[in-house]
Amino acid sequence: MTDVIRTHGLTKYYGAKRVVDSLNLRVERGQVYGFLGRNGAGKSTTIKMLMGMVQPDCGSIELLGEDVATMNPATRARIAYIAEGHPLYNWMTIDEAVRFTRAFYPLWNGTLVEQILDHFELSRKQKLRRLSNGQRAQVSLALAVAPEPELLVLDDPTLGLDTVVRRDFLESLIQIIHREGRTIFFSSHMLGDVERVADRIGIMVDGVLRVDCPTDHFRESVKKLVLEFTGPVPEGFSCQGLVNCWTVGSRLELVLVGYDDQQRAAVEALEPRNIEVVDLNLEEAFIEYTRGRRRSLPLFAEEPRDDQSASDQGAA
Amino acid sequence: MIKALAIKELREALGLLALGVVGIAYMTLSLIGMAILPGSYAEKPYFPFAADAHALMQTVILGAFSLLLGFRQTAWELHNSTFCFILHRPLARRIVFVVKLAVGMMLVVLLNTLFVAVYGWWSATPATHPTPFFWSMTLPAWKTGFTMVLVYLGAFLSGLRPGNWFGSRLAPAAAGILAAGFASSIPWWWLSVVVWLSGIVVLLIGIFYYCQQRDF
Repeated sequence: MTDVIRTHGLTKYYGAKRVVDSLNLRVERGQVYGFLGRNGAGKSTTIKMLMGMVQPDCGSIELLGEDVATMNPATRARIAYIAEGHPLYNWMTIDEAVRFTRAFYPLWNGTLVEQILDHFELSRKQKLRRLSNGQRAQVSLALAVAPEPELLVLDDPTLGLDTVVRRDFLESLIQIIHREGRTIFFSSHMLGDVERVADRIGIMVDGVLRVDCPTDHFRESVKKLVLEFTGPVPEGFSCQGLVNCWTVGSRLELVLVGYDDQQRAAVEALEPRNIEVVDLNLEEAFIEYTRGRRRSLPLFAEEPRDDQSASDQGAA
Repeated sequence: MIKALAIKELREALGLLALGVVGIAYMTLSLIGMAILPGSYAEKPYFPFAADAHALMQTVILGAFSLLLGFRQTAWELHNSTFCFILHRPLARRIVFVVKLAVGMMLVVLLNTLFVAVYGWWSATPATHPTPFFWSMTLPAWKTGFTMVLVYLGAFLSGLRPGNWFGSRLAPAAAGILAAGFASSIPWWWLSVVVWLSGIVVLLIGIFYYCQQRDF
């Protein structure tokens, strides 16, 4: 399979802060790639660098086999980009936006635009400034897919959309994906959406691509273990693949990647009363993987009350 | 596609252009003695295109139009993130900016031409005023109008150029205004042309540098 997106050592600084750090990314033709990360992880900056909107400090980007820095217009015409917030010219009507965008492309599927506008019940006479966020997303999608692009890059396309509109939008996206050879690269905070459409995910953590694997593989790799102890909870547990570790009262909760016999042996060596292995969905796996160091929590019910709080309660 | 871009730029400038036309109309009416507001030149003998007040009004109205237009074409697009939409279209980035600049400069010159043509036509019509008139008397007005291109380009660059603080970001606009003031006030035509051309070249270099290098 050929790579539609390929970056090598892509790095970007904002001031002294490295927002994208030596990113090596490869997206194959026909893939639907979900690009995930918390706010400020570097997703939008990466997407803007892919699209040539932001200049990288070092590294290279190839889209459809061509360097982005010197990309010719004919190649750019094969790439669709929906920026975050669906920026469009508000003074235009939908019809004006369609006619304006069409002027730039040699290939334009007017029938598809009609179908999308009809599907979402959008009138061509409507002013863009009067559209809701969801409707703007739908117009953006229609404008993006009309030139029959081989690669669609979408920066958080479902941001700010309600559940129904989001579902509609994604279903349209899935229909478009079914067109042969089309590659979609999109960032999102909606893990459920990503789970539904993406066959591969990348997770950025503090500008570094920490995960790049099939969606199912990531979900199945991240496990949460709940260890219950009768005595005091042991401290300073460490083993290979440990992402996070914290205590909640008499329990020790661990998040592990690639739970295997070696890790099981390490956990059993702690001699817990009970070990529960919890399967996580993508959203839970993402949260556990990216939330960072968690502070251990006491069980609030078991907190000894001090005199002040006791007297307060008595007063109440 | 260039036509579509040019129409878009014209359409977006329409509001400002309408304001500019209203300003020019007010100034022209005032100069020909049909002032809506106080400050008319009616009944006062003066040589057309030679009154100080006309030069001031022309500078203020055209200058404000040029400044606002320059910012409208850049800072407004940045603010609305529409640069991400337009710069992804399949054409060279510099063409997008060439079209913007061509439309902007044309509108600045056009607005000045409208003023000179209407006021000149009135001045050339017999029995409208008691002083002689020759078309060569319009030269200072043309000069003022063309120097406003520097103000426009300065504002355009200010809107485009990233700056750590507001003052440094406005530096190109201030430079454009200073260069325009200098070019229009010096009495030697050759020097005015040199200053004007140098200013235009420097500002255009800045604009084309930032349009390629800045982050959108």
